[in-house]
Amino acid sequence: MKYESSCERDTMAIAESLAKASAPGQVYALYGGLGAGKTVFAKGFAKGLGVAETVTSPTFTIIREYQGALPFYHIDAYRLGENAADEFLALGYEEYCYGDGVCLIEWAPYVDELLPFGHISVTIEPDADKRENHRSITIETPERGEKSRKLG
Amino acid sequence: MNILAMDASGAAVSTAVLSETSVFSEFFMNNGAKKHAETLMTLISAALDAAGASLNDMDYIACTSGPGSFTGLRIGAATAKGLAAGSNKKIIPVPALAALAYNIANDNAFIAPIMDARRDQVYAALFKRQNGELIQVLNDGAMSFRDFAESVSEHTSNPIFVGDGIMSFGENILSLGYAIAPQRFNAQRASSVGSLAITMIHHAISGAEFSPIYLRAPQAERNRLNGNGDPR
Repeated sequence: MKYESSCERDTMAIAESLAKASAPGQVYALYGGLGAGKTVFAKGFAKGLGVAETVTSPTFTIIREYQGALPFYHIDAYRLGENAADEFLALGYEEYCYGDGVCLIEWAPYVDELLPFGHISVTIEPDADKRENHRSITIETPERGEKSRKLG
Repeated sequence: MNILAMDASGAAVSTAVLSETSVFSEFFMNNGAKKHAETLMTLISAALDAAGASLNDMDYIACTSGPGSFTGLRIGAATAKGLAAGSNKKIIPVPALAALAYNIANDNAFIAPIMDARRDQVYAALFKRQNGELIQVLNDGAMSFRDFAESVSEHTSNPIFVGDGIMSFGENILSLGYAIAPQRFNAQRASSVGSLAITMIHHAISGAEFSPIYLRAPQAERNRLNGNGDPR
């Protein structure tokens, strides 16, 4: 499903409705380059989950936890380093991605091998006609999830 | 000889106090709402109290070493190491899959323990039970269920599957004509961990030496297999 956004508010609105449709345990992988608007998307997403706190980029902290209608885990894999998957495991990947909250992972490719099969991909791309504030947002839902979800 | 046994490698958590001849106490919980970090120490205290024993009365601490949940293995290991250090006891590391297989007492049977891993993978191995002992036929591995079933078929046509992996792959197992263990056997239990530990006393190590075994290839090896280099 492809959406066109002409400004940050559009992006946030799209994110907000996606969040409202989220079930516990859902993982979202966010794809997009520097400045694409991933954190803007995350702000709208958090609003949709009923998070009152201000959402800021987790680039330096890697993981930020919020409480909305569901726990919201905002993760940025950018700084995880060469062994990103091992680092993410050590930081609590099992609890975040296989728990009862909702995960939004920026720079998802760095932890690609750990993403649950049922994750939803959100790709934010610059506008095809190069209009400055415009973005194309593609949301892909997988055909199936994983056989098991809880691991202890 | 007294053993304090514990397991937190899977979704359930279990503790037991036992000797070569008796299981004095055993606790088991598989309540998804509580985290191992909250429950393991409580169940350890409960097991010792119910056995009328103290940590000092134990000769060894037995703990599953892996494979299993990353967090669960670390909680088990950290707890065992802490207790070992505090009481100056040694730890007997027990492979989780062997402990799971030990739940099944059918002699001359091929026993296939499977634990759920992420992304439709299983941690699995194959054992043959002979005269009360387990002989390992296939080493512990992480793989797809299909690959594991294929490996098993090369050794036996009537394995008994046991473990929480049955919840996800039970239908697949039955459609292959294989048997699954009764529901009450399908989790690691501290009494099996401890009983197996008693046959592995020679493997006892200090708390400082004890480390979980995660059963993942190092990152560089995984990258090579996936055809990825460093993504940046």
